[in-house]
Amino acid sequence: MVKVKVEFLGGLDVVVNKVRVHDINLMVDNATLRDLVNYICNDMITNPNDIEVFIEDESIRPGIITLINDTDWELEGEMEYELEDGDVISFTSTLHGG
Amino acid sequence: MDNCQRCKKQRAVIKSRKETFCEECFAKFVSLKQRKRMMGDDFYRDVFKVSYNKDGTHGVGKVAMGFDFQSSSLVALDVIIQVLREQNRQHRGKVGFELDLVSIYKDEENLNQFKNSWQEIISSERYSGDDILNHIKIHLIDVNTFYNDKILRQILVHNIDFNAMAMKWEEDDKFTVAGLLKLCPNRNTRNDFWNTIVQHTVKKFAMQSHCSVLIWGHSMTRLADQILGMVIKGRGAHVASSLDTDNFDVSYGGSFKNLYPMKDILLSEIDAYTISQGLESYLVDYTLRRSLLIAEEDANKDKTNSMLVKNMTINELVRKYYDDMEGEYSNIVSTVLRTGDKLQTPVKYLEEGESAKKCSVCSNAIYSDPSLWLRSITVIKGHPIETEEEQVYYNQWKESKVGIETEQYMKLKDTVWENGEAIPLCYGCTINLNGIKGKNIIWPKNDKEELQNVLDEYQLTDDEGEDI
Amino acid sequence: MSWAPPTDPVNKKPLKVSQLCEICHCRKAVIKRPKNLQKVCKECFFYVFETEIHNTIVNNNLFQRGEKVAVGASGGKDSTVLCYLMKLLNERYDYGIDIYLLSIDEGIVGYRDDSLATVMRNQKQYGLPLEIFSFRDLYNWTMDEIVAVAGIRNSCTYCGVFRRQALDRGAQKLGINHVVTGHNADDMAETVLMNILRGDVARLEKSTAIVTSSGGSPIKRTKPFKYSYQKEIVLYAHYKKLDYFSTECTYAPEAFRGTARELMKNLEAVRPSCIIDIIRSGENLVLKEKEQRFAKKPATSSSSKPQFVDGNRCERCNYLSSNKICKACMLLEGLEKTRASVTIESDVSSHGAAKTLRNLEKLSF
Repeated sequence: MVKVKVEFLGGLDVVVNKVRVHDINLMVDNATLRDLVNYICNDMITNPNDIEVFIEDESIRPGIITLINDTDWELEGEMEYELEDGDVISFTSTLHGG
Repeated sequence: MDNCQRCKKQRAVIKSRKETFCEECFAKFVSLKQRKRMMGDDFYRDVFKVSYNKDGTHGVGKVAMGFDFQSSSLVALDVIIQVLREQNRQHRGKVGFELDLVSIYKDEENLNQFKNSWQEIISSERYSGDDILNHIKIHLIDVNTFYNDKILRQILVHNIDFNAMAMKWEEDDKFTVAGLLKLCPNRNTRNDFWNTIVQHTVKKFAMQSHCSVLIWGHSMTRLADQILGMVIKGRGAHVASSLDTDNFDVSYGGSFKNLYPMKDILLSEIDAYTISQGLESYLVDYTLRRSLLIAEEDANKDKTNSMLVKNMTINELVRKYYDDMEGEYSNIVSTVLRTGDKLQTPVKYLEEGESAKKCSVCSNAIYSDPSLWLRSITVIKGHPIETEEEQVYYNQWKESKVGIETEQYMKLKDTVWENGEAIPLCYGCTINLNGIKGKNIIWPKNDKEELQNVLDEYQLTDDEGEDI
Repeated sequence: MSWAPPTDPVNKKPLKVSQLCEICHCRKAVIKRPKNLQKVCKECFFYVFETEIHNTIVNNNLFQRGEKVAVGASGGKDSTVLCYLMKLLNERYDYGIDIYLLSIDEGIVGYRDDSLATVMRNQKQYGLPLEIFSFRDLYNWTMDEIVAVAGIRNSCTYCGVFRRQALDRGAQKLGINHVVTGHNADDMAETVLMNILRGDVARLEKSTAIVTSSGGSPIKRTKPFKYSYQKEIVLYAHYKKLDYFSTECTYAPEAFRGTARELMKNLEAVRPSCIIDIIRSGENLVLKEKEQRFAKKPATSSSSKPQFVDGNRCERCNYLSSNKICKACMLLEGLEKTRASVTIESDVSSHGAAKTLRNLEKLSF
């Protein structure tokens, strides 16, 4: 089990009932970011139509910045990153008006 | 089943641009579009048509064509053969021009594929009934001709200033195109270099064999990909010259013009022609699009592109975009082409009296210094070391593999900067080199001498059709 | 609406060499710059991001000492970062300019009212003067009313024309001749692509200009973020904990821009530098002279076209315009006619307008 904080920023909170910050206990051994993303899609996104706002080609949709403890996920192994207790994962949409 | 909207008699089998065609009318439709471009202006008409001198002899135009055994070049050749046949018939055995096909092969396997396909072409019923192939010759050229027997240079891009220098490269090992492609960080850069090399070799052939027209089989779709692709890769300044069919190609001796006779034909139309005229078996490494075949309409609906976006090249992504536009497809493709045709080379950025420099890699003209531009928008300097912990990390880095590699780059850079010469590099090539590990490539010095260098040609033996 | 900064991470581990910044080599890299794929730490990122914008400002001579400059402030990420940076750079490099915040209230309930609250907080945070001009005051129409009569499909056209003019008018009322906007590199690259795909050659050549002025307006507009990536702007706001507003406008973006944006995102995934590459290309796209483009037609004398004379004014609103009647007044005329007919026929056949009317009914509670 792993305990992480997940934030939906830049307007992306619309897909999760407009709640920006979520504390999540993930009941998976050696959980990776992929497990977290699956959890978000299956258990957090309320409207199934919103999944494609978040996911494309089985990855985070281009235009959403994913940070793992404030570091660009590209530098942390993307979906393969192994979560640790206390990690802060944030998803920020860049697509909304400037 | 509906009838063809042109002849109203035959059954319609192909549907394009909202019109249905039978096989015959569709072949005419494609062929006419190509002929129009070939006879489009005085210069081209004079090269292609049968013209008589005052003393009764007749002039024969010399034409080269880049021939890659893909659908566009096969269809272009098919229509050219029709033209030659008609001339032959109407002028009692005389034709207006002779055609040299130039095929660049990457390895032995590729060479064999080309040889086999050509063997099939010349022995086919479609082409072998008369002596028309006497006016056509194929030249198979090893892509490594690009490196062989050349003065090679190591071209290096400066990590902070973005300018480039070159130094003579004198290693004994032979350098190959495959070796170059291996250094590329992605398919996109690989394709860029490959296209540059093939284009250079074909143009050099056209120049050396004194052709006055060089035909490229590019379809409307491919040209639209190319235009948008060039813009996306920072080569927007070259769009106008890449489409130029009015002027002689000055980078290659100014003795021939480039022609795109398939410019008004969509790739899907070319593929439909290939299928309906039975040219499929001559293709090498090519997947046909069957979207215009009425009989296969339903099968086309659930076609899925299996390739992931991340693995595609810029040009493939552009193509995917056009495809996804569905009904708008032909509109957008022709709009992009029209936009490209309205552009001119940005000579206005040259200082007064200054002439454009030539890129040392792709030979395109440079109108404004890319290194200056990149320097003004990209800062490479950072924040100083502040704490003891940071100093410890810095020392660790310096002793690590990347640290040592960086130092090696710096040393090489110092050597090149001391002993080499400054060379012009266009924006697109600067970006490509900058993305390669070590920011350098080995490239032949492309000067006038290089253009005269002999092309290694594979000779087809007698039983392979040398006597055609 | 309140605002809370993003959470600070707590997990800190010893670093591997491969995780270090590629500029200073001594701190943890947190972002991979799309421009050149360089991995950089927070400190170096702040330095290069700020310095590049400063270089853009200096190399293009955007500001004159003593000049009054209005920042178009919408409360969104680009304009929030712009306000912050303008103040920071003006102090750091002593441009000697006076900065004002200028906001336009288009009258979109549930969108602009919330974002204006953000602008007002920004005003306090940065201590800059703020002026708000509303569509209601300038045109006697709100965007909600316009969409109700003109339909949702054209909303961006109306909004764009009115807002551009409103910014100009607002600036003029404050005696300011220079408006800076938060248009970034992504916006610009997208516009270049869109103009090529649409064949809009008239706009193509100008689409990468850093200084523009519209329709004979004396007000110059500049874009200091011309070379700044959206991703870096968002991350800068994130790391600096800047307070910005981020909700999609109630009226969805133009469909065509939508597909060009999709293409851009895919291209970026394959070649992140493409945004800057497209801008480089855009700067080098030069149209043939008209005579050359229509070579087959007889050349006409080029002076026959009516030219804009400085000081032309719209006959209706007396605002500077290159045409007899300015674009905003033309649109207004159309709107007034429709408003009259809408009040008679209460049944609106257009799907978009009908839907919007329903939305408006909901929103008015």
